[in-house]
Amino acid sequence: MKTTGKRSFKNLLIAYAVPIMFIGLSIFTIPLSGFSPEYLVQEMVIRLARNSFLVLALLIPIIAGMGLNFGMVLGAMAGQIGLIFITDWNIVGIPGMALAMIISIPISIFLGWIAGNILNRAKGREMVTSYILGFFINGIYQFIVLYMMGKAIPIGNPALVLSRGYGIRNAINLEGIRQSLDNLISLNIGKVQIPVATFILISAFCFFIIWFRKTKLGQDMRAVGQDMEVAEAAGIPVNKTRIISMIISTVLAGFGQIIFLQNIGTLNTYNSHDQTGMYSIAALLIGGATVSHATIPNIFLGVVLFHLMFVTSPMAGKNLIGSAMLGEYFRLFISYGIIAISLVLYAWRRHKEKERARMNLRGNS
Amino acid sequence: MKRKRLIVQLILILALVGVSAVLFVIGKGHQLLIDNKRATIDGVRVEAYEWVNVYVNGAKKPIEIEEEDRQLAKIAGPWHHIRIEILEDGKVAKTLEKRFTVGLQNSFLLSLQKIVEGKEDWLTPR
Repeated sequence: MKTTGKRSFKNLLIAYAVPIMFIGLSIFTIPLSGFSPEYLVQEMVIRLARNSFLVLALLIPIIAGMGLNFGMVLGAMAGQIGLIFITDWNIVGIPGMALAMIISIPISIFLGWIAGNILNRAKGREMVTSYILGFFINGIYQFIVLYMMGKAIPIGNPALVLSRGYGIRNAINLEGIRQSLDNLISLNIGKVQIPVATFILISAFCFFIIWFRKTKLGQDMRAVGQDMEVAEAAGIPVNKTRIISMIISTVLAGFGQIIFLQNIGTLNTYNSHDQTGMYSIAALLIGGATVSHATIPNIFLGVVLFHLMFVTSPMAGKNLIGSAMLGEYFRLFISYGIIAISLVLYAWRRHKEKERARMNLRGNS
Repeated sequence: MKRKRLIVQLILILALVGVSAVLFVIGKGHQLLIDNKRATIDGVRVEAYEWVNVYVNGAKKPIEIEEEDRQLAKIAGPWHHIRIEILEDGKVAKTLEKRFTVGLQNSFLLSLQKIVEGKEDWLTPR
């Protein structure tokens, strides 16, 4: 009994090793940063509103057993194309955001379909394939935005076009839609401003995922995620289901990127999407999710812990060593390092589970 | 079954196109240039007003326009409302309210002199 209790505690520690590590780090960095609790709470609220939708977009491919969708940058690029068009047409406010989302839908569906088909040819290696696919599609995105826009694709707003007459400028001012969703319904609790409308949208997405898991398609995805061969034998069209999961994730990533950028207020045409996948995945993993299992609480916990580190570490570095740059390096090191640690822990855990199953089959305790 | 599905998909696409068109119209941003400059209307010279406060779409803070000045207001969508207060010696001498509709052009010129004189062409695309 005692041994079982010890083992379950050990299992719990192993399962939540990453969030526990981050909570431990935050305990050090928060007082070192010298930020007031009010400031930190406000920052976390803003960052939760800004990033949660993007991270939620990662859930559906995990349900379908496709791991962490590094290819979500495809959706981010589609969202950015929508934003370029609405900025050119000068469509502002919530209608502008909604129109950008609608424009991104067909592009995301197409890119998601391509990604799904490619990942079906790379079963078992989805994460690395989707990561490289992101680079490939980034090349096409840059070709379209840098060479075709303003030439083959008409762009009328001279503020968007490079001085040579074609190609989009490096930075686009999104003043027309800046914080239009965040400020739609705004609530002040003390000195903390809460973007209620954004949280309503995020909650709606959470309910959608809960509902989606119970639908026929959601159940099919779970079956495919657990065992593709068994699912195929049960008559589930495995490849089609996987493609649909990629399409949904890509479309939602596009929406997430639009929500993210309306909060920032500036679109970095050639870089904004670059780190979308990496940071979202890092946040999800920090929340205690794994390659094969993620829940909605993992997302919120992960976003808070990851961004707590993001906010506090440069200042903690500055106060501790006298250089904010060190903190900056530290947070980059952390975000990439945590993905590596999580993947290693996941592989190690799977190895242990297999070993345990083998032992059980042999009749050993 | 397939045909029914195709019809549903077509309806959905058409609905999305329709919604996009509506969003385009109601979200279209415009620049409204409000002019308080002397003008010649029907051969009669109308002087610029000393000071004008313009409230666009129920804004609490007015756009303040001095004599011979032009100010920019950013508006979105087709339907708008303005309230104009013409001030003389720091006191409101005249108040006017107008409702107007704009097209899909980016920029419009609003002449205060023409509004006050009751002319039809007080709002022109630019």
